Parts: sequence; C-alpha cells; structure tokens
Amino acid sequence: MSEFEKVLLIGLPSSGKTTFLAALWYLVDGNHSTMLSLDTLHGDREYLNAIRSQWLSCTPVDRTRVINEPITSMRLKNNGNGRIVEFEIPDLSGETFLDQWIRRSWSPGFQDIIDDAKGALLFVHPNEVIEPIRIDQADLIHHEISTERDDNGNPPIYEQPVEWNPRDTPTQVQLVDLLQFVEEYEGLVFPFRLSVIISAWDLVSNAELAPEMWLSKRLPLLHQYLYSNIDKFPYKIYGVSAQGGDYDQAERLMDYQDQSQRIIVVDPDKKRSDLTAPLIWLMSENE
Amino acid sequence: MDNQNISSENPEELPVEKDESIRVFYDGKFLDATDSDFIAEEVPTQVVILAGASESGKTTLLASMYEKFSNGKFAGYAFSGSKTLPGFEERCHLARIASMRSKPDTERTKAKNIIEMLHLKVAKQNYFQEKTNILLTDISGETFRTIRDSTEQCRKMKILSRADHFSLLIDGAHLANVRLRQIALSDSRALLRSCFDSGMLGKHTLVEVVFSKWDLIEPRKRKSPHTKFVDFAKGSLNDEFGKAFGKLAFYEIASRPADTTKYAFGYNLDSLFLSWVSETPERQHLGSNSDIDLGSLGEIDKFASG
Repeated sequence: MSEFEKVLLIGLPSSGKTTFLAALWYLVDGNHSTMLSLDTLHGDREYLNAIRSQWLSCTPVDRTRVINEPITSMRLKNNGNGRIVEFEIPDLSGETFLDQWIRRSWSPGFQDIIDDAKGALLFVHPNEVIEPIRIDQADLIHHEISTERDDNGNPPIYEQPVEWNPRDTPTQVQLVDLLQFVEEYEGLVFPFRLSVIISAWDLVSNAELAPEMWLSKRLPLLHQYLYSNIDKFPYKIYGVSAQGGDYDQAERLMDYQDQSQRIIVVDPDKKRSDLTAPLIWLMSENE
Repeated sequence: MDNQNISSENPEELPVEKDESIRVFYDGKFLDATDSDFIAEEVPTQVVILAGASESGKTTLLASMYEKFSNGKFAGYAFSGSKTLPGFEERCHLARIASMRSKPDTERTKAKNIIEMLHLKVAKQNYFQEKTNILLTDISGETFRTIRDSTEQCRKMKILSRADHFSLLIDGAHLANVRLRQIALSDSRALLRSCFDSGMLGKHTLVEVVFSKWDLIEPRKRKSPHTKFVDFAKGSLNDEFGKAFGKLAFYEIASRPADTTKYAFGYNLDSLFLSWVSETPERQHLGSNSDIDLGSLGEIDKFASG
C-alpha cells in the first residue's frame, strides 16, 4: 500500500520549477540511480514527457509552451526504506505566485491545490533575484551600472521618480509574504516542510559557498524568516542545476551519454547529491 | 446562477456572486486598530508612537529600520514576519534605485483620520521562541501639531494611552540652525506637556527623545557648536519631565545620513530599537496621574485630526 503526499512547487516566474520537474521525470522514469525511483506508471504523462523533451534538447523548459496539464502525479519508491509514496506535484506558473503577492489573494482553485499538502519545494533563481538596493549603496557603482549617458558623458539623473510597483518588489519580500499566506491558512498541518532550491547553482560564482550561506547573503530577509520560524517551516536548502549549465552550452550538455550526469545537486552540507534528495527530505518524518 | 431573466439594460442590478474559492489576505499597506488587536494576541507586542514635527524623520526612521533587517539580522534580532510588507516597501521606495531618483527621499505622511501602523515581528538571535511584535505608528506631523496645541484633541488620540514607547523626534536639521533650534525644542516640549497634562502619557509610558539627522549636528563626528544646544535641550527636558514618565532617555540617530562614509546608514538605530524591543513599561503605574483605561488596541477610537 502506498502513502499519498502532496507537494507544492512554489516560485516566482523563471525560478526553475519546471526545469526541475522535467529533470526529475527524466531520472525517475529512466531507471537512473537515484534515492527515489518510479514504482508504477499510471495516468497521463503527456505533460511530463513534453517538458522532458525540451529539457533533453537543452531548450528552455517553458510550461506555457507545452500543453496545459500542470498537475502531475508520480508513484515513487524510496530505495532506502522501500516506502512507496504517491506524489502529487502541481506545476503552477510563476505568474500564479506573483499574482498572489500583487493581488494579496489566492486565485480560484489554489486552495484545493494546497489543501493537505505536506510541504513545498521553494525555488529561487540567482539571476532573477530583485534586490533591495538603496540609492546610497548604488552611488559608488552608478557609473558602472548605467549604460545611458547625458551630454557630459555622465549617467542621466531622473528626478521624476518612478512610482512604486509591487511587481518590482525585492524577491525576498515577495517570497516571505507568500509563505506568510501559507502560514495563515488553517487547512494545513504544521510543521510544513520546505526544501529551498537555489536553481542554476552552476551560476553561483563561489562554488565553495554552502547553499544556506548563499541565501543568507542574497536574500537575508527570507533567510531570517525561515530560521526564526523553523518550528512552522522546517527547511533544508539545496543548490540545484537541473539543466547543468547555460543553454549556450547546449552542445557540451548534450554530449553526456547519460544525461543524468549533467544535473548538479549540492546538499546543505555542500556534498553532491541527487535530484530526489529534496523530495526525500519533505517526506522524512523525524529529522 | 441563471442570469437570463435579469434585464441586460441594468447591468448594475446584476447580483454579485461572491467567489468562495478566492481567499483574500491582508492588504499589507498598514494595520489599523482592529488588525493590531489581533496581532497583539499572538506574542508580546510593543506599541511605539513615532512623534514629532513634519519632516523630522519619523517615516524615514521606520523605513530605515526595515532596511536594516532587509540586509541581515539587526541588533541581535532576526526578522520573523510582518503583516505590512507592502507598506514598508512603499515607504522605502524613494530611497531605492528602483525609483530612478538620484537622491534618496521619503514620501511625506499625510494627515488621516485613522492611525496607520506598520508591523514587525522579530525574534531574539539564538532564542527564536522569544518573539516580539513591534507596532510602529506612521502619523503625520500635522496631527502632532494639533495635539500639541489642544489637550482635548490629545485626549481623543487614545492610542497614546496604549503606547509602550513614545519616541519623540526632534529634527536635527532644525537643531543645527540657530534660527530654528529654539522653536524645535519649544514645540517638542509643548507636545510632551500636552500629552502629559491630558494624562495620555505618564508613568505607564517609556519616552525616548530622539535627536534625528545627527550627521547634521555633528558633521565631522565630533562635538560642534550645535552639540552644546543639544546638551542644553537634554538638561531642560530632564528638568521638566525627568520624573513624569516611566523613562526619559535620549538618542542621537542618523537614519539615512547624507554621507555614509562618515555615518553608517541607520546610525544608532540599534540602541533605539533595543529600547523598544526589550523595555516594557510597568503598567501598575497607570492611574497614578490618569484615569485612562488602557483597554485593548481594538478599543482605540479613530482619531479625528480636525
């Protein structure tokens, strides 16, 4: 008999959710050596197969370009203890979560999706992080970052301020509020586990950095929120490059005969791991 | 629902069907008295009134404190949540590069007939179970002018009696100006006097007198001619109010100094923050000079500034 677990993928646009799912499907469906493996096939796999094909051809995995079948289900076996868990993994678009922050609400149907979820994979992409940069911090580098020049060769000065737009709010703030919405929802049982996925880990310049250290430097508000609410949201942080490298390195990436070798996963202790480790953590009970 | 029988000529008469599947959360711009009451039920809550004249730096102070947490733990505390993140973000906007301004600024708080509060939940570093809510008011300088000039108006602003901390900002730009400094001190003194005489502040209140924009008072980071006046102001306020409140203490801050090579961003905010988060007035003093019922935050009346 299998257990049933529902796991959410949470992340703002282009944070790497679908690429992760595509690589995961490649691994478990292909009988690769991972901690979780596919137990039985059932149901429609069209969506998963479509995003896997994109992943294998090293083209950006875009869930909006494939068929609209975002809720997927995988019956996976934990090779360590033999436990079989059926994961339901809704692959919601990043815009869904951006809308939650902007509209301060959950769209119709989201409540059904999150109901009874045991935990979530929370995605952050290093290249998509909006940071809260103050003007005084930026003064020194203003010349360097601005490509525009006035008649005197200086960066132009705008004295007509751009109005505040919630869409441009720092990533860490949006993610904290999304988690606070989850925290408010009485339909969940806490603790609610989180596997924080730092996507495109190959882009993180200092590879010696542990994923948690990276998060504390780049999204300090989110990091503080997580560790001060660890009773509600037990978490682990992983560095993951599901793609394995830039898309302009497609030839190199496709050169791997075993495509699983291009996937990079670093666990919280900076050790190499496999892509199913974040799911294992979500389903573990007493760690 | 079958709407076919409803005349299409009067679309405004169409019944609005409430979509139960949409879950709406707090808007996050600010908390009012009712919201704040709910917040205060969870963990110990400190209500901080940021008082002072227009442009004395009240909103810049709360925005800068939030900026400090945005960059990492602050004064030994970690950010643990906020029900007003959009409110903080909007107030920080004009000091961020996203505003496309060349010089940081803060939007002036307008007079309103409701008390707006911003919320921070913080946890003590290494003791994360020890959480504290801080509710910071964002009230216009015009409102404080009104209550300074009228004890009756002061009594209407019931949140004053619930305040754990009354942080009175005196504008450093005025203190550094010989023509303006006496008025700045006199107005601040008058505000404290009105709040005390009305019984809204007393032994049940911790009062912090905050000299803002300290980088203008001591631009070279050493004593200046203006420092002497600040010392005089401290002595004068101490003589008059030293025994009136649960505490009277002085702080010198620069929330957003013009030259961050001389004064760090958020200069001395940590000591003020520590006062807010770790010091609580002794409530048994209530009634020694007042007959005000503190009540709960939910009992705060909407304040009419007019």
